[in-house]
Amino acid sequence: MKHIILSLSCIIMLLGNTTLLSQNRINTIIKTENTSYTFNELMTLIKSQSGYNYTYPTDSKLNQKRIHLGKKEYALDLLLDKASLQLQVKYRIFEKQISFKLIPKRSVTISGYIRDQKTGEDLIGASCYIKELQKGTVANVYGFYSLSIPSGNYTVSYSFLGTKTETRILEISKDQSINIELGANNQQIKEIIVTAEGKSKNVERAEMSVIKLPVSTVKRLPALLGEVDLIKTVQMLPGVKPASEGSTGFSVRGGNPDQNLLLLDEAPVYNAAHLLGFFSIFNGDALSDLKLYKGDIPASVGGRLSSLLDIRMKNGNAKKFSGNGGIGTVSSRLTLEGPIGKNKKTSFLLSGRRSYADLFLKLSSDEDVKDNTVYFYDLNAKINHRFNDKNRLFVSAYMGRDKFKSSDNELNFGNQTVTIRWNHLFSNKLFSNTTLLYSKYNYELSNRLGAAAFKWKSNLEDYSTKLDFNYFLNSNNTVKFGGIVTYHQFEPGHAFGLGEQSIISDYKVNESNALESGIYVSNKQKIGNRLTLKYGLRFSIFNNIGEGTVYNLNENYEVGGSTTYKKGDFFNTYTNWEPRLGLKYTLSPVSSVKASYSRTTQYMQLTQNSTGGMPLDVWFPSSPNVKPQKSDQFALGYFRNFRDNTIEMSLEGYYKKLHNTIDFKDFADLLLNKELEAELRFGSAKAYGFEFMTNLNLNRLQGWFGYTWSRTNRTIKGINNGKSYRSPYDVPHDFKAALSYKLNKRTLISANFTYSTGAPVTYPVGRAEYQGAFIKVYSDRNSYRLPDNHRLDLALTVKNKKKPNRKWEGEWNFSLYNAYGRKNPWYVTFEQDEDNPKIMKAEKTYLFTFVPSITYNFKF
Amino acid sequence: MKYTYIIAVILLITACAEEMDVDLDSGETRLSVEASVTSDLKKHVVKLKESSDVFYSKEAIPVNNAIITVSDGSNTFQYTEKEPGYYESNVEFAGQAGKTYSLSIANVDINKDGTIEEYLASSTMKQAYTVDSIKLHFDPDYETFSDDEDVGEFWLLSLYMKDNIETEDCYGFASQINDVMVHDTITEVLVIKDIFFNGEQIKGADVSGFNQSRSDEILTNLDKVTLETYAINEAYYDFVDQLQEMDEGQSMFSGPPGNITSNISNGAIGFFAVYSITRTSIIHKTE
Repeated sequence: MKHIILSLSCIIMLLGNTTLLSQNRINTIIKTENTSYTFNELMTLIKSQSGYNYTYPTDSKLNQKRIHLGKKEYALDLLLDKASLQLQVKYRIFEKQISFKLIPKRSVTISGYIRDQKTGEDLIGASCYIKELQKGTVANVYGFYSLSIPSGNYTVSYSFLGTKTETRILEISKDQSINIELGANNQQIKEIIVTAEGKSKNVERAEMSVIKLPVSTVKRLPALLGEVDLIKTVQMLPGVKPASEGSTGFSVRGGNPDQNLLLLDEAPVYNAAHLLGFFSIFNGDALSDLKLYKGDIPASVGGRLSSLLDIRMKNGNAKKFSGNGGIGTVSSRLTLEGPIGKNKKTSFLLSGRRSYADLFLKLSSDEDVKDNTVYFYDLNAKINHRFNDKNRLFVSAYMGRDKFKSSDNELNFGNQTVTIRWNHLFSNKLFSNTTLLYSKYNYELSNRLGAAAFKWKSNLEDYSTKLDFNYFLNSNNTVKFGGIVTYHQFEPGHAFGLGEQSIISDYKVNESNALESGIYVSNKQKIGNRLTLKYGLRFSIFNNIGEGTVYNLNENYEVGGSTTYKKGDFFNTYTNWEPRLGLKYTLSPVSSVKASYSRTTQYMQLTQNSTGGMPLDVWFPSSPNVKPQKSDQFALGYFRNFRDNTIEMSLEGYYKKLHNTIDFKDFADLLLNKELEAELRFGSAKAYGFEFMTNLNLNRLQGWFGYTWSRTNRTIKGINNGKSYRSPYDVPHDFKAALSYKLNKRTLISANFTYSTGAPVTYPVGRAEYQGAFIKVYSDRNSYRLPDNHRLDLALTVKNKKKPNRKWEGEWNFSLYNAYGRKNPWYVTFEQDEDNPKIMKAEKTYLFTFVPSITYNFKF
Repeated sequence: MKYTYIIAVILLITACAEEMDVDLDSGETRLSVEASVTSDLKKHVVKLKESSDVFYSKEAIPVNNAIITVSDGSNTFQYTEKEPGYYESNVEFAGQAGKTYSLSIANVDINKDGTIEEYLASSTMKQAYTVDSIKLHFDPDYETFSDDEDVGEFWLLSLYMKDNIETEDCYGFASQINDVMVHDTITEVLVIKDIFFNGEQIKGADVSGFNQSRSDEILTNLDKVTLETYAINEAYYDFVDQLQEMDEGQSMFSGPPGNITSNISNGAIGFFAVYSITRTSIIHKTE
């Protein structure tokens, strides 16, 4: 008997039902002969096979309703569950009597948190789907979901990224709080859900131009020197281009690197680079996932034109104490996490990483290099406490620094961020999040050589407070509203002499302060089964606040005096309306079209004149001389899934017009310059292109490949004689692939490949002699191109054999960066030949050919 | 502040360089001018050449038969071509502080279109600086900022003077050994603006150096060392500064290259430099 039940349950699982509703098990088997019955026919069948009688409300039209079953054998209670779900009734069995009752129809709300069973982490974007209504919702960034539906008897399934699923049959007759923990092990169920429901998220999601990556995906891909790097993985996505090789900066859809908003647990990060960009500050071990918005930026976010990179830190394992770490070629890492206290209401995460590049320098034959200190570190910490189901507090912090030191010189720079968040549920429909944010980027540069001894400091600090509400009005409308106020404090540069001998006097670039605020409201509205509209409006305000000095500039950018404002004086204000619109129309269960329009405004920018950027670049605010930059982006896309949604394809086109674009005059002096604004030139820019992306989520093969065609150019008065020129990030053809293949349970191979048109560059087209040297005569700005850029990286990950009773899990990662040793030019310079100074030659400098590395990672 | 140097040092470890073929278009031929008037009483010089393609491998082509004059508002000085492209004033004269000198170059058809062009430039001479003293000291392990090959034994020349707090001053420095110019190319001249030391008493800033591994810079006992301090105007400072930046070449941290400014009209390349010179000498003694 037992094995029959077992095999039956399997069949039932295949049909999509997994959890039983009935109070008492009735194992009587009913054989159905037709694929569908009317209620009356079915009850007669049951009666004839089992002897059970039935009652139902006679005023209902229940008896004529049809129930679809398929020719099968069912346990009686499962058959009744199935029928009840289809008819939206509930039933009770008393002795040999089945009584059916109608469920009163009223609006109810189910809400709660969706978490990981193993670690208790919030599952951001996990979905809750009701089969009978074909309606669903997704958990917000705190794992909270809320869905308002008519009361009824439903099959509710919760799933996350297709790997973790739980299905429940629930009678929902009143508002209910349902917290769900999803496990990763239920393989059978996963298959069912994918086929039965169609997790066509990519197609169904209303937002476009968005790519979400779990950190686990990032960790599978090859990395330079084995250092897992979120930003480098982001640079492998279609529509994103690295600012230059080895740079942390990136350009999204032709925008500038400073037009990307990088948020770490909602706190802005102003310089994501370590070791001048070869690595990013985001330590994969401390993070849970990242989401890149290349457009269609939600109304809740503002302040940057091109993109939003939303990075979330892990909350820390709420179930048990655990740890992971690694020993790599560049750095070592250790992360500890676990619950605090017995009631498991509090959990923490502590993660650290430190490089030991210094050790390489010791190998150098050059004495000067040997004595240098070069290192970076990162520290991430987070605590979250659940007071009750309605109140939750998070505190997270990041601190990281780079230090370069030689006998005479020292440079150190780094970021600090603090996020304090309080999630509060006013009701099961109204979710609120109150956030306090702090972010700081600063650097110090010093030289200890006699007369030129100096110290140079720069500092940028942000204090923000933010209030966000999610109002889950009903299953068709999700309203979001809120606001943010940020106080920016700029100390762009202060240099002063060190020691008796120094001739350097005190030089301070004027400090400035600004208040940046925004309020927004948006709604996501489903109209019918096919159409979803998103509409939102953001109103942003920017105030320059005293104490501040503004230089008066004439039309030739010459300084003619200045105006000083006293402390607390709101001396300049900009306001902007920023509409954000989007729509999704479902063409078929596996395809949809989407369109979006977004206007974004940017009130602060970076003095980045080199393509790669450097740590000394400073942020400067809009001011009476510098108008805020604006962007209008239109995008249209077609989304189609194949093979049970395991292959997702998308084609998106975009057109972007940017206003008040800033570039810098030739030989601009951007650092330690009080009159920085005189070095700026203004104009407009545009960018357009299309992106084709295929995402593979097959059993063994995972990853993506994509092709982008895009153009971007600028027209700036005072640069290139006012003629339009290519942006440094104008790269027409771009092909990328990032794939991993599971050879067996323990072995994974992965590869990155990138091919792109060479970056625009300005070359000399003539020369003239002047007092023993050559004056080069340059072409129009960016009218030449570097040779095409391509590279292949490979990696192999081998897991140690799993042993029972051993918590420790280890894996070896072997990676090879630039596997075929392509010498992609980093920059090209023209120099006089040493033997014959009359001859000039072009010389390219390139980085990294064949960089192998080994990393050992562990978990316990 | 050559801060990029400090960063660049770290990168040198990982980067490699190699020669590369680049296909470049030809730019149009333009007039290249090297002209100066200084406070020295002498025959001042103007050199005229043609610009060329970047990969041109010979001496620049001289520009002949130009008619050149320099005027200070009241006097006009005529120039004569002594060698191809090398023009000298007919009489000796010394530039005077406060006076504006105007250069005129006529009878040139650089683009050979049959139309004669005229080129004009003007520049004002600044008051010479007062140098208190100079001193030599030895550094066995010196690194210059601009060129990573210039490392090793150096004699450095320290300057003692006071910067004027009232004015924005631009300085140029170059040195002679036994009255022979050592820093004779424009890239060897140190130019500096007083932004970061305005009004300071300069107590021994190294403004010039003699690389002891270069034959023409080796100092021996009792050599006469002379520092030339130039009072240059801001336009010439910008020109030299940009030229030196250009000469250092592109790097990852430099902005997009641009064309350097000239004070000569009509698209000519080069500069008409007008400046005062202060000379300070000491006798080198090795102990």
